[in-house]
Amino acid sequence: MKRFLALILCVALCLSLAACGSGSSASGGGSSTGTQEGTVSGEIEILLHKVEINEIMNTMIAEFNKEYPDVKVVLNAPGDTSTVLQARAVANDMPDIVTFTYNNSDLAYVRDGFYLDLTDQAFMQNVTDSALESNKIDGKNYYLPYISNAYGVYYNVDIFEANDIAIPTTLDELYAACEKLQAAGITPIAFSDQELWTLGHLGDRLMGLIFDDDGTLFEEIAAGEASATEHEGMREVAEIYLKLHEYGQPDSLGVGYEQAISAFANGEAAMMLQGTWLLSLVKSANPEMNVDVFPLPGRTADETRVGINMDLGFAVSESSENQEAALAFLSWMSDPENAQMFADMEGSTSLIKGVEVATPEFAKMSELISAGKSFVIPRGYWAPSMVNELQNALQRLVSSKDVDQFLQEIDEGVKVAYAQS
Amino acid sequence: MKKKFLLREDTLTDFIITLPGLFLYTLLFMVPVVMGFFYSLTDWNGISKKFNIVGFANYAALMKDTRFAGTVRFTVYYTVLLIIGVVVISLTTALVLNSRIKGGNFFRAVFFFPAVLSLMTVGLIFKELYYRVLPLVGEWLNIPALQTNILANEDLAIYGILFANIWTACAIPTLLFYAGLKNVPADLYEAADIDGATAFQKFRRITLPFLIPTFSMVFILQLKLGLSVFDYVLSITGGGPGGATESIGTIIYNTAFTDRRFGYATAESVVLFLIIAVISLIQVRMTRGKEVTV
Repeated sequence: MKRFLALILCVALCLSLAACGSGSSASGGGSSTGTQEGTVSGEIEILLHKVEINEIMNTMIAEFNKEYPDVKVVLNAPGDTSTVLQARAVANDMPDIVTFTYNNSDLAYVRDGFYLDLTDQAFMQNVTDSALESNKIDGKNYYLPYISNAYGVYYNVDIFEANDIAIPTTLDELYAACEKLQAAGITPIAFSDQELWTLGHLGDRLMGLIFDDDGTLFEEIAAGEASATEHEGMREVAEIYLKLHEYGQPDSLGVGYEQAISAFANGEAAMMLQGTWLLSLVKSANPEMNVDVFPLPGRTADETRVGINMDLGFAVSESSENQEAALAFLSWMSDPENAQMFADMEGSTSLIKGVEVATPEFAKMSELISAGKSFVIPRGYWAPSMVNELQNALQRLVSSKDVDQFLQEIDEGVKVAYAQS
Repeated sequence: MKKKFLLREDTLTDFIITLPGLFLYTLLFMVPVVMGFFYSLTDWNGISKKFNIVGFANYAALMKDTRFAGTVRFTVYYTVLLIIGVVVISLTTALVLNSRIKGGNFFRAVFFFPAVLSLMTVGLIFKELYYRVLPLVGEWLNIPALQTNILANEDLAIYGILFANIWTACAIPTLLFYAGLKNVPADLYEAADIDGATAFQKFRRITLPFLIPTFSMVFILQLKLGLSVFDYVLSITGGGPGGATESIGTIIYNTAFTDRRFGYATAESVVLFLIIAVISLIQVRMTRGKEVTV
């Protein structure tokens, strides 16, 4: 593993060295010829964190090169992006374009001045207003928001039909459906509670859904003005969390992500709570499966909102010697026509104005999102290590089933996480 | 006079020969150690160009960190069990193999086999076994504790990791003990037989002293494996459930790469280094002079 990583790092370094070498000479020429389209030249490297869209990005780059033949785009998708990016940052060798966004600890890159402020770039007008607003960091946009993920309930349509279950629109209906499935001898929900991140994902989506967390609760706890033990919303989240787990596997704490997926895809469990990224994994685990997704319901149908998060965004490195070419690429990508081409291949909700996405499984969630019934997942507002504290506390909650102890642990965890930042 | 000069030239040559090794050792080991210690005195987040020197604040915080204390307890307990398990099993296996049983070569190969597998692969295979196979065995034997996945149980998950670890870790010690047993001169046993010694007396007075160097080596190897256990924890439980199986190794990784607190993580690893150094020193002192030299 280590050796593999080292090899990747070496390759990445070589690529970037090559990029810098040819880039510096080209950018000199670029600046003298002005910024007209077609005359932009240079070599840019994109560090892509979504390995699964590698092919799609290569197609996009080929299209881009039809309009910008003098820009050479190198796509680099090493897999362990977080570590690679860190090594590159420390070595003062940042890629020109970075896509890595889903980990909130990456705020550090923004705050340490690694990325260019894109707020006033003309192409940002192509992005939907809500996406621009919700992805501001300290009041500015450092990423071109491109696609969004959403969190919902994956269900096995055949099992639902065989047991005569309608799609639940409230939490109570969801519980009732689970009761019915349990009575029929089917595990209602496949959890993967060994994998900490999956616990955290459900946790922060519930916090957004139940009390619309925007980070203030933890900030107040850190300041000593509030406590999770006395917070009704947090208590309710913990209770819902436990209630849902009554319908999971008895030993869900020992189940990994792949194991849960295979249980769901093979019909051993009827539902799985996950984000849009799960669909392709389920389909590859069982191509014949009749799978669909409904939004994770709130206490009432009216309260039901979809937790969304930017899944892919593009940032331009502050130290890039080919910023002009990099910005030209972003501008081209954000063009509605090109964004539509990307969406047709990729299938996630696009954050570019006027782009239609037709993934039938996500239709119910898209409907709510376009009706404005969505919320940005709260973790982006927290201190970097708070996600970790929450995940661990949730895992202990599932194990101990003790809500009071969980809330106390949250209080302690907040103090640790916020003391560091 | 002339001879003395020659000797000195030899010493110089010897020294020059060691230079490449010394250079690599300094560059690849000593320099990172010193740099690591330096970073443990800072609040560096692993990315930023700027960081503050905070003195021993990280160490002071570590002393009060209950989560870290928990990982130290887990790691020490784990290491003790690992060493006992590996020494007992591999010594027994070596003794059996040494007793000229039929098909000895075949069994030697069988017992060595786990050593050639990758740690991650072994971890993932055992994870599946605990998930799919062990509950069936538990049901069949009617043992309630085994009927659900033991990795979901805070008290039992550690044994799940240990079992997989011991299974692979025994291969090389078995070979070492086997080689050690071959080193014991046969005439000593013959003499003991003539004197009427029992099998246990022969083992205690002849075999064991000859195996002391091997014991030291196996002990240090397993100690190092146990205290720095990482791959097995990561692939089998990921530190869960609820942090019950988090080792010093995994918490260092998590602090550095998930929480992005590099300064603090290096302080944790310096503490791990000190623990290993102190125990190794004690161990070397204790066994010195007890071994037999042929």
